[in-house]
Amino acid sequence: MKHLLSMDDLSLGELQHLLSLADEMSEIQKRAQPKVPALRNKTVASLFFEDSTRTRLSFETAAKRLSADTMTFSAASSSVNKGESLRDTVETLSAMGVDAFVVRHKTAGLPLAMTQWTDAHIVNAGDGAHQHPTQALLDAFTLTRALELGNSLAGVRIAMVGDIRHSRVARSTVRAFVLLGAKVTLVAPASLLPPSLIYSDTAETRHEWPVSTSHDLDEVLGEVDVVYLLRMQHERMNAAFISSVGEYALHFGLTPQRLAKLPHSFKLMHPGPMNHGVEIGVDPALVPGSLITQQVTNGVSVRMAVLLSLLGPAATSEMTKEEKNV
Amino acid sequence: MSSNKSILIIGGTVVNVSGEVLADVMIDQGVVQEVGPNISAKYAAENEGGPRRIDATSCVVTSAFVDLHTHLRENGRVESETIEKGSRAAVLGGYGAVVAMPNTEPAQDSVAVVEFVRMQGERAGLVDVVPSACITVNRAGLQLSPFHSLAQNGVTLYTDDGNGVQDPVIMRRAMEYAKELNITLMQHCEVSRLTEGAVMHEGCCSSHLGLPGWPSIAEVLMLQRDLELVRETGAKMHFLHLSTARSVELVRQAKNEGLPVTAEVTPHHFSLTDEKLSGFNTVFKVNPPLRTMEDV
Ligand SMILES: [Zn+2]
Ligand SMILES: [Zn+2]
Repeated sequence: MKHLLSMDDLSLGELQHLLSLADEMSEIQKRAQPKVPALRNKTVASLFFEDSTRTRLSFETAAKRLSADTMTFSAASSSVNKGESLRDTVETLSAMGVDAFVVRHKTAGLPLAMTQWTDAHIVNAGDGAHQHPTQALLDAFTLTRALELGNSLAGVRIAMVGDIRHSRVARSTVRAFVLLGAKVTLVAPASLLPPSLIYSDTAETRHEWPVSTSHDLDEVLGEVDVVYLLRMQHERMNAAFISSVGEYALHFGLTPQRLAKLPHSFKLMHPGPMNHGVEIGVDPALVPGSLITQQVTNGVSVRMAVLLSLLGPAATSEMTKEEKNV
Repeated sequence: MSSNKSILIIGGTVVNVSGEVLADVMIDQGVVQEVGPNISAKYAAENEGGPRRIDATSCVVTSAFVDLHTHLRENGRVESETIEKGSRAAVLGGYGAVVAMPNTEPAQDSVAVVEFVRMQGERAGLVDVVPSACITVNRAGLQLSPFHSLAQNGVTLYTDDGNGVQDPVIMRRAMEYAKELNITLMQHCEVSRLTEGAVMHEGCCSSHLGLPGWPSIAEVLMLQRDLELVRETGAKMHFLHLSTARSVELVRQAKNEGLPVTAEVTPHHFSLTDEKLSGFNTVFKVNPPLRTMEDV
C-alpha cells in the first residue's frame, strides 16, 4: 500500500490487517512510555486546508508516538494566500524531504491529484464530501472491539442517521462496515440521501450503496444493534435540504424518548464534533453503550497503524526489493 | 478570399449532399464550376497557363463548415483566445464562418462592441466572423439588450450563453422582440438554482464521489418553459448544446408540431458519459456536464 486515499481501495484482507495492527498500536499507547522508534528519521507533514484541530492532532500524536518528525502546514498563514498554487506548495514541501503527507481539503479528489505531484505517501484526512478513510478505520476498529467480534461485523445491524448526502464519513464508514459483514440502514429524509439512491435505483447504485434506506427513525430503532449519528450542519437549511434544524431534530435526532426505546446492549457512535440538541438530544456520557470517547482514543491507534504500514520497516524493505529487481 | 486565378483540386474525396465520391473540383472566380472524376485531364498544365493545381490525394474536399458556437474571448480574455487566433484555428479546421459568442468583456450587448468584433474578424481576414449579441445587458438576465439597434446593424443571433435566462418575464419579452424583428434567440438551458455549486452530472458517479451534482432536470425545465413560450409568441429559438435524452425528445416533439425551433448536440455529449470523471479527471468537466449511458 503506497497511499491511503479511499476505502474503495482497501480489500477485506487489507482492512483486517490494519485493524490487527491497530491492536498492537493500542497496546503501545497503554505503556508508561507510549513511544516506539519505528519511524525514526521519517517526516510526516500535515496539510490542513480545512480547520480540524482534532483530526490533525490525532495524526500528529500518532506520528510522534512512532518517533516520526512532524511538520504542520497551516493554510491560513501560508503562501497559498499569496496566490501560490497548491501544486507548487506540495512540490516545495516535498523538496524539504517529506515522507508522507496527511492532507485535508474541501476539494474532493485532491489527495489523488497529489499523488501525481510528489513521490511521498499520501494519507487522505478528508476530501470534500468524498472520503475520510481513517475515520472509517477507527469506526470499524472501535465497533469490532466493543462487540468483541474479532475482525468482523457479521450480522451486526447498524443504522446510520443523518446527512449522508454531504458526508465523507458516510461514504467511507459504510464501506468499511459492509466489507466486514454488517447490515447497514441509512436513515434520513430523501433530500439528505445521495441523489442516486433517490433517483436511479439501478444495479450500479445498489453496487455502490449496498445498504437499505429508511425515512422513519422510530421504526428502525427497534431493529438495530448500533446507531451511528452524523453531524447535521445548520447551513443545510439554505438550499432547502431541511425545513429547520428543529424539524430535523424532532424526526431524526436521538431524543430521550427514542433512547428509552433502545435495548440496553445497543451501541452509540458519532464522528464528532457533536451538535447537541440537533442530532443528539441526550448526554452521551449517560448512555451506557456510547462509544464516542473510544472513537477518539482509537483514532490515534488506527492512524499509527496506517502510518506504520505506509512508512514502516516492512514497507521499506519491500520497496528495496522491488528496486533491486528493476 | 477569392482569387481570380482558377484552381483545380485533384484526387480528393468530395463530400457533398449526394454523398462521397472520388473526384476533381474545378473552381473559377471563387465559384465551383465542375465536379467529376478525372476532369483534370481536360485542363492545361499549370506551367502552360492552366489552372493552379492542388493535390488532394487522401484528403476530404467539401464546402466550408459553419461553427455556430465559438468563444473568441476578445475582449476580456485575450490570453485565452483572440479573434485572429480563433480565425486561424477555424480556417485550419475547414470552417468558412464562425459565430462569435457574446461572452466577452465588455459583453456583446451594444452596437459598438458587436461592430468591434466584426471589424477584428475582417482585419484577420480568414473566415467570416459573425458576431452574436446578448439577450440581456452584460448577460445578467435583468435588462433587455437594445434589440432594435442591434438588429438594424445586422445581428440575427442572440444568446446569454453560459447563463440561461432565468426570469420568465425577461424571456417572454425577449421572445416578443424576437418575433417582431425576425431574429433568433439561442438558449443555454440551465435553471441556475438547481445547479448551484454543481461540477458534474447528478447521478451514480457524483453520489459516489461526493460531488455536488447537476441534475438533468435543470436543463429540461428551462427547455420546457421556452418551448411553451415559443408556442405562445412564435419566436424562433435555437437550443444550445443539449445533453439529455429527454431534451432531444422534447425538441423532436416540438419540431413535429411545427414550432420554429432548432437544437444542437456536441460530439462529447453523445459519445462520453459521467463515468469518465470517476478518477477526478477535470478534462471531462464540461458545461453542460457529460450525462449517462441512457443519454448518449
Ligand atoms: Zn458556450
Ligand atoms: Zn453554453
